[in-house]
Formats: sequence, structure tokens, C-alpha cells
Amino acid sequence: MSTPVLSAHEVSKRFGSIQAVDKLSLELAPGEILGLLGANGAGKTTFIRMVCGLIRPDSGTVQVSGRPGYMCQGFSLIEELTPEENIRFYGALYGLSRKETERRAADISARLHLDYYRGRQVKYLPTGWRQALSFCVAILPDPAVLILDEPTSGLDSLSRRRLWEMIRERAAQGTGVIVSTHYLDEAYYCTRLSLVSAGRLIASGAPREVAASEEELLTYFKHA
Amino acid sequence: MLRAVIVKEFRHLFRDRVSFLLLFLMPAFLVLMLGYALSFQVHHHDILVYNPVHSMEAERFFARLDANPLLQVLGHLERMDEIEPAFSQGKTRAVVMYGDDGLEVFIDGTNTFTARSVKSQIGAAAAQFAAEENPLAVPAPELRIRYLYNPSLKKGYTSIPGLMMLIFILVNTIVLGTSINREKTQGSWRLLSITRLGMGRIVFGKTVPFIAISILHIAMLYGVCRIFDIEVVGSMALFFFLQMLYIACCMSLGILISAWFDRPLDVLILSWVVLFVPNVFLSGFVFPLSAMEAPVRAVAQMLPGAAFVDAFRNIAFKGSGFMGNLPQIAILAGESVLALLLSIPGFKRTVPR
Repeated sequence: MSTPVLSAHEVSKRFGSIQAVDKLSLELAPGEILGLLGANGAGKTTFIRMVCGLIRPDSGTVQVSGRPGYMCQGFSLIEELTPEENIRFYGALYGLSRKETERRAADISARLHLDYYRGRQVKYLPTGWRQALSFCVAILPDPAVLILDEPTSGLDSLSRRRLWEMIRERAAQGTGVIVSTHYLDEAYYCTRLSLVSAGRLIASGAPREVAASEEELLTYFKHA
Repeated sequence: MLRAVIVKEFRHLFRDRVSFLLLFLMPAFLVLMLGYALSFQVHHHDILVYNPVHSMEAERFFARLDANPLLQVLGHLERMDEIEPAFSQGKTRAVVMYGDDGLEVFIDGTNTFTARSVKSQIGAAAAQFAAEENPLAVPAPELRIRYLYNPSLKKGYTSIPGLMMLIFILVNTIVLGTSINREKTQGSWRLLSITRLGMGRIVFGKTVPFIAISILHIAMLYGVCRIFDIEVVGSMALFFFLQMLYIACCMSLGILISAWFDRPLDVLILSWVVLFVPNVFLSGFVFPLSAMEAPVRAVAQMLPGAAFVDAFRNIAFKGSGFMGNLPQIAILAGESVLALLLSIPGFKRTVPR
């Protein structure tokens, strides 16, 4: 494995009586898509927030190459701004020059066919477009690590497929991607899977090595 | 089936902190305030007296004033030029001068309610004194009233400080607090948090438009004062400083509430209940502070609204300086700093959302 862009070692986090994450360790290589799979409440989001630096772990260490790109659970852009305004706003926060931001905004607009929605506040965009736009904003700073927390939740199958195409395209450019999901079929889009249950890593490996089918994958969680 | 709905509703109400606050604490507060603590009946007015000719008659009159349960003679002035500073430093509501040419009463006109109240008490005391001293019904000494700072007792002098106090709470506590909280509940807060900005700059960035809007409100205030012929006699720089300090205090309290509560509706309700309503009742805007029971008055004087209204009248209408308003400025500055410090752990909470 090449030098990891993300390394988490025995990371733990407790909220009151709940052990949300329990000594979870994993590494992410450049260009890898690591699927973090688990049921709701398994600890995926807590782990991701620790990786992003939003929550401090009780114990363990997390090392990330640069600042990660992050797409959080639910919609994360400013709903009252238009797509272009969101891109310019986050471009400025990520330290991009005005020229570069405008170039990226034009690229994203062309990629997502946003012309139809030009000038509209993003809260009026369909969910699929909003999530695609969130993804484009997450990769604005060209991060070495991209963290996507249930990015396809609530999307129709077409929008899911389109978002996954964008994720794989990004990984092909060398970005390490962590995707949390509870959709079993999405596990097979990943290059590696880590199954999480009750805050613990219960299995890890290439998708077909971990489970040959979605049914087999399901048995992990049934017996966890 | 109905039983299940009723049981659920009880559980719902008792487990929701804000509903609990509105159902029990707010009525208790209102009953306590309106039933016990608040009244339009002023308990006593602090007054000073001046006896330029050192007459025994004047001293007897001052003793009569002091015997009135609604008036308290705080002390004697020695010179005429001590009268103005006594008012501008907020030491008294009225000065009674008993000289050769009769009674002259100087009354602080910036609060029209208390001005009328103190006038009526002194007038009644003078009439009674004249009747006692002069049983043959020789006419009582002439009573001349001079309302300082607001000679014609325009109500704007009383209402404008209170209205500005409430407008600043509305904009800088309630709207700012809900705006921060709305962002917190959306994913955008988390996305902003992982940029290089840092929490402090995110919050500061959010306050800047509110500062600009508040400055617009200050400009409107000056316009209103001109329209209603209300004269601002004090230092404009100090007056502006006071307003900016109060705005900062309101913002800090809005930030504090938004840091510790997770739903915009909670922030909205809590801001009204904890800040807006108490400041309406206890700031001296509607009910005079001197009409409050002593323990309530002590609490009321610590409210940012009361400190602001008091300093506003002192600086704008009486021309009082920085040192004359140091306690009020200290309250506003102290509460701002305290609220910001307490909000830090609120933002840093590690509760997953």
C-alpha cells in the first residue's frame, strides 16, 4: 500500500453511556474508495466527524493529509444562496483565487447542467442536483482526502448513479475517498469495505472478499 | 385511544424544555412580577434639598418632606451649582430649594411618569406644610416647578430609550441568535467548521450585517429625535459608544443562547422569555425602577436593558459623562464578556447532531 492519505489508529469516542466508536483503526490509500458500511447508529458519522476534526476523539489518533473535503449528512450548502454564490462563497473560504473560483463555477455549472437553475436559491433545486452540487463544493479545494457522509441518502437511483460516477472519477484522479452508506448495493462501488457495528470494525477488505453478495453482507449485521 | 393521546401529550410537554418553561416558569414569572414586584405606585423618590438662606422654616419643610413615606431626603446641597451635577450623575430625581422667594422644585423630566409623581408628592407636602404652619390660611409659599432636560414633559424622552432597547434586543439577540442556530442545525455549519475560518470568525462574520443594520437603526433614532424635537445634549461619541456596547451585549446574549440550544424555535422562544419580556417589565421603561420592591429592583438593575435605558437618558438628555455612567457601562461590558465566554463550551459541545 502506498503512503496513506488518512490514518486512524484505535480511535474511540463515548457520549454518556453510549460507546459511539470503539478503538476503530483504518487507513486510506490515494485513489482508494473506502466504503464505511453500517446500520444507522453504528458510529460511522461520529468516526467521520472525528476524521474531519469536528469532534475530538477520547483516545486514539487521526492523521489526514491536508484538510479533507467533506460532504456531510443532509444538505450542507447555504440554502438561501444560488449555486454560483455557494461555489464563490466556499471557494473564498478554501482560499481559491477569484479567477480560479469562477473557472470552477463554470466547470461545475456545465457538468451539472445548472444553467436551468441559474439565479435560483439552492433550496429550490431538486435533491439530486443539490447533492451533486455539494459534492462539487467538497472537491473545490482539491483535497487529498474526500469524506462523504451518506451522500446518496434520499436520492433516486439515477441521481445515485450519477453521484457515484463523480466519486469514482475523483478517486481515479488520486483522491482517497471515504464513503459512509447504509445502502448495501453501494458497497460494490467501493474498492475496499469496512463494516462497522456498535462502533467497532467487524470486517474489512475488498467488497467481494468481505461478502460475495448483498445477502451475505446482511448477515454480518444480523450477527454483529 | 384518547387516553393514549392525552398521556403522550403530557409526556411531550414535560420532556420538552421550552414547553416546560412556557407552561410553568413564564406564568410564575408573570404572576410574581405583576402581582408582587411591579407597580405604577412609586415607593419613594430620592430627593435632595437646598436651603440657600439657612432658614428654620425651610428645614421644617424638609423634615416634612422626609416624613412623607414616598419621599426620601438624601441630603443637603450647599451651592446652587451643585444642582445640575446631582441630576447628571443620577443622584436624584428632584431638588427642592426653599429660598426667600418661596419654593422652587427642580425635577428630572427625562422620565415623565416619575416626574409627575414626584411633583404631585412635593406639591401635596407643600400644601400640608402651609396648612400646618399657617392655620389662618394665609396663601402657601409659591411652588415653582422646573423640569430639567425635558421642560415640556414630552413623552419621547421616556419612550425612545426603551424602544431602542427593545429594537436592539429584537435584532441583535433574537434574529441573530436564530440565524446562528438555523445554520447550526443545517450542514453548512459543519462545512464551515472544517475550513480555516474557525468558530470565532464564523460567528463574527455573521454579526457584521447585524452591526450594519443596527447602525442604520441608530441613524433612524437620530432622525426620530430631530422630528420630535428631542434634544441630544450629551457627547455624541459617548452616546454612540453606549449604543454599540449595548448592541455587543445583545449579540453576546444571542450567541450564548444559540450556542446552548439546538433548535431555532427554542432560541426564538427563549430569547423572548428570558430577555425580551424581562427587559420590557424590569428595565424601567414601562414600570419605574423606583416602583419595584427592593430585591426585584436589585435584579432589574443588572439587566442590560435597565443599564442601557439609564445610561441612555443620562448621556443623551442630561449630558452625563463616561465616569457618571461607569456602573452601567461595566454591567454591559461585563455581561458581554461573560456571555461570550459561556458560549464557547456551548459551541464546543460534542453532542452528535
